[in-house]
Amino acid sequence: MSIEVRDLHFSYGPRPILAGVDLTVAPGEFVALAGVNGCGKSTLLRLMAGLLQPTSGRILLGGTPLASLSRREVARRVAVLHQSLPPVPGLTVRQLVRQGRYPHRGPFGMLGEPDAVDEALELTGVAHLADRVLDTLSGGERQRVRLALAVAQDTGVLLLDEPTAHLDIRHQLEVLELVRSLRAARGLTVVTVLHELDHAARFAERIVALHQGRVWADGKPKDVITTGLLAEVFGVAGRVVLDDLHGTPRCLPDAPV
Amino acid sequence: MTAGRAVAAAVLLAAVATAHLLAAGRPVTALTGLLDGTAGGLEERIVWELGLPRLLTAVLTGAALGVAGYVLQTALRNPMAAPEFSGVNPGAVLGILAGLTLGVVPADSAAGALAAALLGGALGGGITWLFAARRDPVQLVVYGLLGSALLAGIATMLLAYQPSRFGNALRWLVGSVEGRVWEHLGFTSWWIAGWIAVAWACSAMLAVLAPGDEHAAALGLRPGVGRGVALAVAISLTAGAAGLSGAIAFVGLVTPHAARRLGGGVPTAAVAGAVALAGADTLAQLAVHLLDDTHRLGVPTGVVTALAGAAVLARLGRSQ
Repeated sequence: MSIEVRDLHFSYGPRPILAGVDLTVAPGEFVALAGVNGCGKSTLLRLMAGLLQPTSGRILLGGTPLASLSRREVARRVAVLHQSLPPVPGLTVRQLVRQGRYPHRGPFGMLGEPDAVDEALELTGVAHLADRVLDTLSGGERQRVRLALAVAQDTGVLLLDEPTAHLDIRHQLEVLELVRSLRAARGLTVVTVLHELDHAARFAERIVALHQGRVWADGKPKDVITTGLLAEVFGVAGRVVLDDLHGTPRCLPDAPV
Repeated sequence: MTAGRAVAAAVLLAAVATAHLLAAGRPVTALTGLLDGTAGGLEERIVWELGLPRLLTAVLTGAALGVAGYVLQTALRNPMAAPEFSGVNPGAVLGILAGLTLGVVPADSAAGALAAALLGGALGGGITWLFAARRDPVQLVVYGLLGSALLAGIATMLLAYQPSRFGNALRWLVGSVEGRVWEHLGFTSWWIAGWIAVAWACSAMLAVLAPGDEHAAALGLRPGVGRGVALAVAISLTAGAAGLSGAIAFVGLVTPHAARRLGGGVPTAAVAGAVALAGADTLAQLAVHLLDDTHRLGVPTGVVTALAGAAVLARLGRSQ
């Protein structure tokens, strides 16, 4: 499912966050949003999920204006993982993943459908954790479970807000590889906020760098990740080298500008 | 609820019901005699006319409070949310007392008591809602306590205004399942059963609402709508409970915790509440025997739930 963002503006009160963002994501594409804290990455993600209303401009999901869809209709098209999931005492993995069926079954559907849930648990490799209480899992396991929830939601678009935050390096790679394999298995359009530029370069086909509420650069990782990006967007002097193994750029930040 | 859990719940309910009926001091033969479907002798008639309605009142009130508390705690994400702390229960009791003292509602009319409780409960819940509007739902409980104190104050003022009603009003203030007969149960039992069914039907909504507003919205539920429905269900159930038994405390606060520890939802909360209140009333009846029947009013069930609930809550607080 494609996502089209047209001249999008958004502000919290008088403070503008997004000042005219244009972005088209093709069906099945894997796009990473990059930029410093507060540049509007997460806001853009929320707007694309229909969780915030833009001040002006519009968003199309598969050609349909987002604003014309109900909350549940949006949830059948877009799954979004926020940075963290607040704890719920006693909530088990299966209970959480079942909630992915809510947009399809509605308030009075009893969240049954064991097949769809089992499939999501299998696909994300957490079937063996199904009856565990969520709070007892490690950070990496929790992210897998949350991806299982998104899979159970059975959408065409997957939006991720820093899916690797607070994970150690091994689990960061595991989560990103899982996202990549889910995208292949389900034909998902993936847009993710990623802090780690090296990860963005390696896993995403395309990087969109936001700066001061606008798209500063948009293209293939090797075209976007440059010393100019480091200096102007991130405020660091550094070098960009080529990773021979993966053929992707790697950043070596040296000093704040 | 799986089959195993349903059987366990049925056995538990049957055990508590038997204990409750026996605690009234009637012989076992009066109970077994009723099983043939007719109330023959005097003892059987006493069980039929007094014992069973009292048991049903306790079971219905307990189930209603258990589910109301479960719904509130889930929707507001606060383990201290409960009918008595959200302004709903005090409002319902105030409604009944206002009806009694102002003479609008005849004390023994089941429909009148329910209507008064419903109005008062909606008022109490509404006051809390106004206080807490546009604030974090977690804070709702603080404002609920404020509203509850306000409503309790007004209730006391009403009594001070007409002290002669005090004897009548005490039953509602403390909470008691005694003195209800079949006529009281007719409508209210359907009311409570119906709203428990609604709460159960909304299980998916409650589940989605529990982790947070962003989570709920991402899954297609407008959090404000979900909370509004939850509050309406909780008010209706609390009003039903208050219309039968007055201000029974702690059942709606403590039993949802038990239900969650058992990994259950609405049905488990209903059974836990019913068992807790029927159990508490069994103790209340036994206490009357110990006190040698000298007290005219007996021991109100609300006193037992207040004492037992405070003890459970203290333990709960330490273990968390």
